[in-house]
Amino acid sequence: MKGYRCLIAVLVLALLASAAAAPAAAQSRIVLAQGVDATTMIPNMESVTSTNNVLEHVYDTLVWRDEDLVIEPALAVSWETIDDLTWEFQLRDDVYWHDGTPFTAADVKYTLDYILDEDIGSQYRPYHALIEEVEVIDDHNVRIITEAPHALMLARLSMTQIFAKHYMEEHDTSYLASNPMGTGPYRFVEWVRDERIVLERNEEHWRGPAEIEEIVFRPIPESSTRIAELSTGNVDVIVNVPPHQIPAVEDAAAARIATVPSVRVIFLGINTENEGPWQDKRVRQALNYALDREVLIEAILEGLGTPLAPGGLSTYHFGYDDSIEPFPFDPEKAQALLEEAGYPDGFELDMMIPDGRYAMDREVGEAIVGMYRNLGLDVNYEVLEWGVYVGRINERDMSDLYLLGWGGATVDAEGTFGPLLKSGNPLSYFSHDEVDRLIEAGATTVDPDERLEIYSELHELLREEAPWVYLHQQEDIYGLSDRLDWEPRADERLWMYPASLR
Amino acid sequence: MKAYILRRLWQSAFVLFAVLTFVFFIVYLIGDPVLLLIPPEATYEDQEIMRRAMGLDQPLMVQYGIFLRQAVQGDLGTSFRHGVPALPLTLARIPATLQLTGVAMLFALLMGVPVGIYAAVKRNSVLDHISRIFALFGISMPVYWSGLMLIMLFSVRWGLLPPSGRGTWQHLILPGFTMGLFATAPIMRLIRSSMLDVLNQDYVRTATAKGLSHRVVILKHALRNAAVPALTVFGMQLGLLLGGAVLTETIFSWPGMGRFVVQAVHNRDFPVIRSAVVVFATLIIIINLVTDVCYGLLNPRIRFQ
Repeated sequence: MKGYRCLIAVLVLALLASAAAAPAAAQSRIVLAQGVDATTMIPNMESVTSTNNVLEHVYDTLVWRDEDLVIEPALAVSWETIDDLTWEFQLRDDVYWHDGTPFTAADVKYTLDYILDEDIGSQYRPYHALIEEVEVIDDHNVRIITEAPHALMLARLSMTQIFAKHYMEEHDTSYLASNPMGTGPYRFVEWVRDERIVLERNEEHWRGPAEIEEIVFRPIPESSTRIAELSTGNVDVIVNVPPHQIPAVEDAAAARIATVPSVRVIFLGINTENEGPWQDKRVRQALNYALDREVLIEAILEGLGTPLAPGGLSTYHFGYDDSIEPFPFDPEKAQALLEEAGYPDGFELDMMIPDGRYAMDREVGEAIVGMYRNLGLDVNYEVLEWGVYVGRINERDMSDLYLLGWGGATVDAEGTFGPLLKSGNPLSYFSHDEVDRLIEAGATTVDPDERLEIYSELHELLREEAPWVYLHQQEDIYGLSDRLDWEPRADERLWMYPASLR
Repeated sequence: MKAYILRRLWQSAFVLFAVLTFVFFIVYLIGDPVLLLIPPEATYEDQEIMRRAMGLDQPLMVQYGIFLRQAVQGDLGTSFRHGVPALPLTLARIPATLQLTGVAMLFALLMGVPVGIYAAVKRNSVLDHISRIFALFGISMPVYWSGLMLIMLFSVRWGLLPPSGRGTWQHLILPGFTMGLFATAPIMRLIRSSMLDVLNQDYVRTATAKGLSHRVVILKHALRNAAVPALTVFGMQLGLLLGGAVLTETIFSWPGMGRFVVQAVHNRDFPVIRSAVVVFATLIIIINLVTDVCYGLLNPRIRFQ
């Protein structure tokens, strides 16, 4: 028994000792906690936010989005469209890779060719599939030729990180997957998988050195643990605070909540390929009028969301038309529309809800089921894990209604309407000739003003046709340490170049 | 003994082959990885191109052949997500998992064995009843709850221990204790019941009769015999802990196997799932073998044929 006592005494002493030796953080070092670790250090392979949030500090893009998500020059100083199919970019001549080699147009060509190589299996290939050829004119000028007019060119390039031709050719894939080398504001230091990624400031960065000297990314899957780490001062930024845990962050001594309306929108798709009353636009309008969006947002999302207006674009999107109001909550009108369409006693309908993919998705879905039952509809619903949900999407085995969110990394109307509403596309369950014509026109017109007119017309039509039940634009919720001066962005990017310590 | 171990190892090779085959095919049931690897707006043609790049367009038996050929060379494929060989990636998680499991087991033994012995010796005493209630709590408290409570108290309120991550030995205490709590209950209860069995045996009475101290009788004569069934449970618990580390690792952001595998299943990262199952199976085989060999050390009457 003596041995045990001794052991307990040692443990207690050790505990006390550890309490005394609280780690002192370096002055200019911040720690960011995301839900999952990055998967690879080769850019443009994975279109996953958590990976890109790390890599965007190590690499640069040709163009970048400022805090209002407007395209601004980055590695490219300027660009012009020579004709509808030819884009020419002039590149900065003062940019160096972290190993000191100068950055040139050959690197741009190499990057795009790499993505387009069908054997590589880059997730970005579909984004650039319209590119036919990349031509190096000289060291600082590059031309991109497309098969068809490509309205999303700049949007896609703003997410495409340029890597170094010489570096990629020198090393094998396994090495590259763990050792990034770019032109960005931070250099790669180390990656201990599932523990931490450490980046240090690049003093030679062409934008000028960043304020913060070192940034560390830590994956912390459980949101309560992220909050505990923020409360104890171990981390400075946490992502995806669940709405009901906001008070826990606000109660912490040196932390605060920061919210920002997101580019992500949430809606109920209506499968008009399934036979049923919802093939009538009056019924689809009724489904829109029957929902009390304010209640959904207040009761489930703690007020953190904005009702979504038809067409279904976030307020940041190019092509968003602010003259269109969201559908108001009007049960009488919904009832009247159902009667007019010939369904005074309601009808039966199936609904699919994902679990754990979007903020409070299951709760939102189940509340909607309740609201539709109040309207007299006979709703059957199923709640599915995301992997299963994606399988159903691919098999085109969607219920009459299905809850879906859309992030729209392009922040452009085409990035939403093209895949989701144009007939024949994998995610579209709607078919309307005039809608198709306008979407096509928007995608293949390169002039921005002309495009805005097209999308304005499309918005009117989508309000009338109501191909979706428009729900809300999400708000992203972050927890920040009080010592950090930084504003979250609407596009979920953890871009730390502008951050500083107070 | 040596022949026995060699034969067991030989059998293990067959078990591993069966595991390889099983896990090769079973992953296809959880869904198509291409769909999760490609942007949702990609066309069907884009999907086919991705499928070709990943070698998933080949007939299943051809894929199986390639898989086996690579497997005997120690290559279980390249992770779809990470772009690096899956087996080393998985093996790199083993130290963290073993470390956590080891500490958890240590906690479980330190708490379970003495209390179990005491409860048996002082049967129906207050402590016996308390230990029974404690065991009930230990087994029924979800790790999710107990883990978060410990973080709230020891990290957030008292600031004694780090809430999550790996690095110093302080990082081990909360997750180790949380996981150990779960394994304590069965060990405690089993030690108690097998001690009770043994305490009524003739040789214990003989030992007491020949004037040995109570302590020597309990710890030398009784415990050693009571330990044989407990060892079986210990081995099983160890396997359970290795597999059940998922929740603990998630809560405490511990970079071990469990969390890694869950992520791989979410991502349908077939090579990683396969590597993990093979590695788990190997670990379990080793644990079972070691447990069986330990029987012989504890009780020389058990002969290995």
